Amino acid sequence: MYLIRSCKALLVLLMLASVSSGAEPRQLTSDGVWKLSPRYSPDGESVYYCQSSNPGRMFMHQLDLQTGKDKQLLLEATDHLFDPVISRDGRYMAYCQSAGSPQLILMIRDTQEKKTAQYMPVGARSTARRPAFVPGTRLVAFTESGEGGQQISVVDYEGKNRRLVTEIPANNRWPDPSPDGKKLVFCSSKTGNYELFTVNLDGTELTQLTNHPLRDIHPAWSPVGSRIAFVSVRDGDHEIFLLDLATKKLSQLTSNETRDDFPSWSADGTKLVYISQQGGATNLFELTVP
Amino acid sequence: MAILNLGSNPIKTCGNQLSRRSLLKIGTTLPLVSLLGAQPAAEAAADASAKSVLFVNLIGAPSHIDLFDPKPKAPAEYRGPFAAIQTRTPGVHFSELLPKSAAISDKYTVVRTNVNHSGDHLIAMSTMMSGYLPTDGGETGNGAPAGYQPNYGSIVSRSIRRHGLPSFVSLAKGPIGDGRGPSLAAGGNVWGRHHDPFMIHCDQAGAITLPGLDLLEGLSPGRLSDRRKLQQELNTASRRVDGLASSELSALYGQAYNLLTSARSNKAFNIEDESKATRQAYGQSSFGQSCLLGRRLVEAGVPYVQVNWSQYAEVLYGFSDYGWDTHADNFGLMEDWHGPLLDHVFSTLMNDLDDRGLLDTTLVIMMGEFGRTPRINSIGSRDHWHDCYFSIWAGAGVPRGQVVGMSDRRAEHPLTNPLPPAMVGTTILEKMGISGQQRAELNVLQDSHVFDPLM
Repeated sequence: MYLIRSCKALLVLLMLASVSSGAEPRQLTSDGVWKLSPRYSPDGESVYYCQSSNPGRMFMHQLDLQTGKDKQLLLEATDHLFDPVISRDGRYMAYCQSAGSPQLILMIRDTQEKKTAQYMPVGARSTARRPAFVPGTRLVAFTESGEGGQQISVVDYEGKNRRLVTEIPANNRWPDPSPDGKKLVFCSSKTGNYELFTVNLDGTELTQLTNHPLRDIHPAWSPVGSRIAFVSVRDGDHEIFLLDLATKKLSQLTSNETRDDFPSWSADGTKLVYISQQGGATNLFELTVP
Repeated sequence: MAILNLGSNPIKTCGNQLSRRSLLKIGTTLPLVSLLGAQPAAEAAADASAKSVLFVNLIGAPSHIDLFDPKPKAPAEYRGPFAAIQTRTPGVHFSELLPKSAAISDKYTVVRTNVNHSGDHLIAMSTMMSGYLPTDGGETGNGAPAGYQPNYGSIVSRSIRRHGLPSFVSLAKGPIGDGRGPSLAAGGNVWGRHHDPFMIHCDQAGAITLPGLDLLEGLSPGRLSDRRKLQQELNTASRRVDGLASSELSALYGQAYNLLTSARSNKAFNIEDESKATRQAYGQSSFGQSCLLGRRLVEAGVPYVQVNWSQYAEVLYGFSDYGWDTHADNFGLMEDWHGPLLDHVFSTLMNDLDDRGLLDTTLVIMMGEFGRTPRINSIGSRDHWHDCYFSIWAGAGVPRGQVVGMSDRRAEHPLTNPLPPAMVGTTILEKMGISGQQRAELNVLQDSHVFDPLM
């Protein structure tokens, strides 16, 4: 690993050829507070994310990209809140909330009716993480704890009719749907460490996309459908890569000595929002993708 | 310029202009022995290999198999999703969550065979910091026994005092423990509260507060403008503090005042003296800035500094602050939070200590109270495991680039060199020059031995 890191300067030079993004990343926040899992709103006007604030709890926030104003969501909550995401029609918000033993419960909030459905995984300390709305359906895909690992599951907007998509004896995490809603990209450790896979929504046609001795994580399927952004630690720390599904070609979008993580696409497929820990601070950044 | 917190209102202080009200808040969290910087200095043996101890306490029990003792050939239900990576030490592998730590493995020793007496956080945390199970079998009311031996830091602070400095500092936002209550070996324990550490909280921005007391909340600094009023307030406060007589408390405040207005200690606490690059290198987190402050304190000469990862063991409860108790979603939390933060801050701390030459005289230990179940549980996570876990040792003559102790192929039990808590403590004290004779005189850690591979 240290040899890989020591060659990083050379890698940076090499990547200049493959990273053709013309614009510098745009820094969206400056408070430096630890953040996770940003996602654009469907209209592209704001970014939803979670942030750790004193006294050490995880809160959900919404950043208005036009005004720069940031507001904390669900102020009444007294537990940790993770992984907010908005449905394509803007009506529903899914997120995960700690409760009880503690568990992490999947919450699906109808912002019009002001009602919240929930799916509680079975068993003490069971968890749901990283929900994603599946286009063209009324399903939410998410990571669910299970015997010996995690699986990808779906439930409907009422938090009911839960169905396993994967039944792979490994850690299977971070589902993100294809634009047509027929497939999910996710990560599985079935080969020993995390690699990218796709699977049909009915659990068929499992296909491995990446193969590297170090982990590939946090995939995000482009709304255009032809590319998948993901994070890999293959050059020594967390960097954002693009996988072209037609050519299988990889290109590296970020390259620095700090963590760049949690990429998520804008609805038009031209930008990625992500977190970066430059200067020891954790902030949101936006990158225009060619 | 240092930042201290007065109640809910942070104030800035310059030089030695600490307000009296700050000292009131400090007072009841400042035990007498920790404040013996105001008393005659006492040094350990001249040939001691360590002048200071920096004990990094990973509260909540980190997963050893996902960090410093990976088992890539173990069955899938054990090994977890993280790959093993080569470290700078030939033949030694860590989890891929630790690339920066792996790159500097030549600076420290990894022990992979720690054992503890209990899988209960409060008990194991207490034995980790004091060496033994409680001696009197008493109960505190929260299910945990009382009667623990003194914290290693309390033993050090009773033996080694340096003018103008506290002798035992613990960095946390409040008394460390779990959701049931505080650890019972965080300080003097059977020696009494006046041997407890001086507690400081360093938040993610590096602002320093003095936790544990809001006894005088609502008073303005103006009301404490003279000694007479101060004494009145102290008397009021003393009635609200269990176990401390008014006269003791007054003496304590006086010592606090003397200590904290000394230029030497004020300079040590002033984290803003650090360059922007250094503060950024440690990162914007309470753990990162606390490690930076810990480095400043040992550099200034504080004999024993304990940096706590969090106040609570737990992670997903509403009250908790990201402890290592990852019963739920271990692999998600390790990926999102615990792994990257630990790797970044620990590697920064080790590089900084080494660059400044402080590893010559500072003993660094990093460990939790136990590890986590190598076998993944029924909800895809890991529970408590006290039969085998890791600790990190560096500085003060500890060999560099070494792994001590071999765990079995599933990281469940030591195959060689088990390291129990009392041996951890004896090794620390011996490194600090507190001899077997002194330990006998103090009636601590008498039937234990040093861990030879670390000497």
